[in-house]
Amino acid sequence: MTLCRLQDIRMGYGGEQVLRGVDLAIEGGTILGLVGENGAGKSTLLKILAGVLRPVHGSLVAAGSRPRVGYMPESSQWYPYLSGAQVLRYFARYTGASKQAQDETLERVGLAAVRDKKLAAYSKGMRQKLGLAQAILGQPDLIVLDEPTNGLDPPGIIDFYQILQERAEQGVAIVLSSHLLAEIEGRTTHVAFLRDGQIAASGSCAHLIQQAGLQSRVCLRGARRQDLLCGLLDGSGWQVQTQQDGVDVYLDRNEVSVLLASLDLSLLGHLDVQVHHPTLDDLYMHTLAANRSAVTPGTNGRAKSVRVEAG
Amino acid sequence: MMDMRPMLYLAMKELVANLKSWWIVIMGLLCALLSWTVGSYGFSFASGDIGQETVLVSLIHLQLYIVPLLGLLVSYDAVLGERDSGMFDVHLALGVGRLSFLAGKWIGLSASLFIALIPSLILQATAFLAAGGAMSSFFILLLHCGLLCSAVISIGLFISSWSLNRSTVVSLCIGSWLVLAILIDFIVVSLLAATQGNVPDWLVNGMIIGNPLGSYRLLSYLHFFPEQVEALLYTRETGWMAATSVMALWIVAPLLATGYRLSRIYRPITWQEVE
Repeated sequence: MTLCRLQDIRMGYGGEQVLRGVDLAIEGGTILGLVGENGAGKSTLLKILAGVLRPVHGSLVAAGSRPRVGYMPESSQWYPYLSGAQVLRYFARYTGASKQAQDETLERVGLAAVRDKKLAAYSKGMRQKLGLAQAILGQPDLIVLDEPTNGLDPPGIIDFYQILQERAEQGVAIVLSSHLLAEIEGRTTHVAFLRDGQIAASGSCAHLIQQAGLQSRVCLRGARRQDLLCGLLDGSGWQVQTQQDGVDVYLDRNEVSVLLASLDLSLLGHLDVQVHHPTLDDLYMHTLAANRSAVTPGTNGRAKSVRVEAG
Repeated sequence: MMDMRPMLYLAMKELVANLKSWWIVIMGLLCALLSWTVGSYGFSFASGDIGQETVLVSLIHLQLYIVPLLGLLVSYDAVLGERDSGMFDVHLALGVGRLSFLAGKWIGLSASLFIALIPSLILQATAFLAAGGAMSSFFILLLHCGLLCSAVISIGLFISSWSLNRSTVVSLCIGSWLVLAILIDFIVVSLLAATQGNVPDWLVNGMIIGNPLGSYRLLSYLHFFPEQVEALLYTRETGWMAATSVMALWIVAPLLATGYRLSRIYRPITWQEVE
């Protein structure tokens, strides 16, 4: 269900247009990753969504009443003379969150053990966790996070996205920006690419990959009889490129299993199979180079390597 | 009707933050030490008994120097710090209005400054009462001091909101203190000496009364030494009106300019609600 919609948002600083007509729908229960180059206007867009900035043109339309917003700015410093618990208590006054909710939130983000420590002694990762705690406190309908995982260690990042997942399952809409495509891949349900002040593409990752026509690449190597392998693939309808030691097959993601099932291993002996699915990196590069024709699919894709043997 | 709670939450936060600051505690205690010295001996280091008037003049002048200094120390980072740390954005996202934010800051900082001055004020009161002054007179002095605190905090907020970085804001605050507390008096005296008094009245009066410290001094002198001041001004009423108006202007005008500045930088979006 659409929670809110950004309509034709235009914004500039000192005569320079940063956002040139952004249209974006935010769905409840989704995690939207906002991706773009430095200076693309991600932070500006998030500030507009958080209700901090008013664009020079455009509107923010809520389906129903105005949603409650939790916002975590980029590189937030908080108040070094307060403890984590005191910061949450202070912001809870504005949201009406109970003492129990504050304690539970601190516990959930992993700051319960340092709740009474002054923020001056917090590491950057701890401050980021506190930022998340503040943003999710008070049961917001929309959580807006500006590069929230900066400074978090790997377990912290995993836990961070688990918390977002839990909130999304409760119907909360989450919008976050990140430079790390590999980090948000598989963790956000939707992505939006911001380019030249406009949304170049938005939707679920799978849908966008399909829409972009990006194919998976299956590398088949080490066949006893390459001519047999080529013969098997003839007439399959898939794009096949012959390599020195095998073949590369380009096909849709959901056809990979069909290909693997069709390989007659009794004839081929054994095969080294590497599957490269198109990644968010590929999709992003494809979107950036949309006006160019040559995009090699699956080049950056993470490979899944298997060895298939006869018998 | 405007929700006053966010303003009060902010004011309380400011108060707690400032009273936890070692710098402000140390400066407050230094001011107390100065007050004890000046209250006991006066500015002139006169030997023997110093009269009530000497103590009074000394205290008025002491506040002229320490209140702006401490006030600017308390407020220089009030807006810039919140913007740099992203906390201003968080407040706005939580629905705190810019005016509530500004009013909360102003109340909290003014109260912080006044509380930081309490040790100093107690020593001043002790010296003043010991010199034969009346408690009611000291309360008038306190009232004037409160007005000065408010004006200085307004100026501090103004400087903090218009500066782009900490080094600029610190330089501007130190410069403002030098100009207001020292340079203006110095220029007036130099002008009078250089021209042997042939300076237009409006210029001298404007320079003396036109700044918050001058209007504070005039308000205090008008209350405690009306005859002497009357000799310089046309009437006592003119002086009262001028000093009060200038003081009010120095409290309100920087606040309005700060509000304008914040409205230029931050204009929260208005949501359209569609069923």
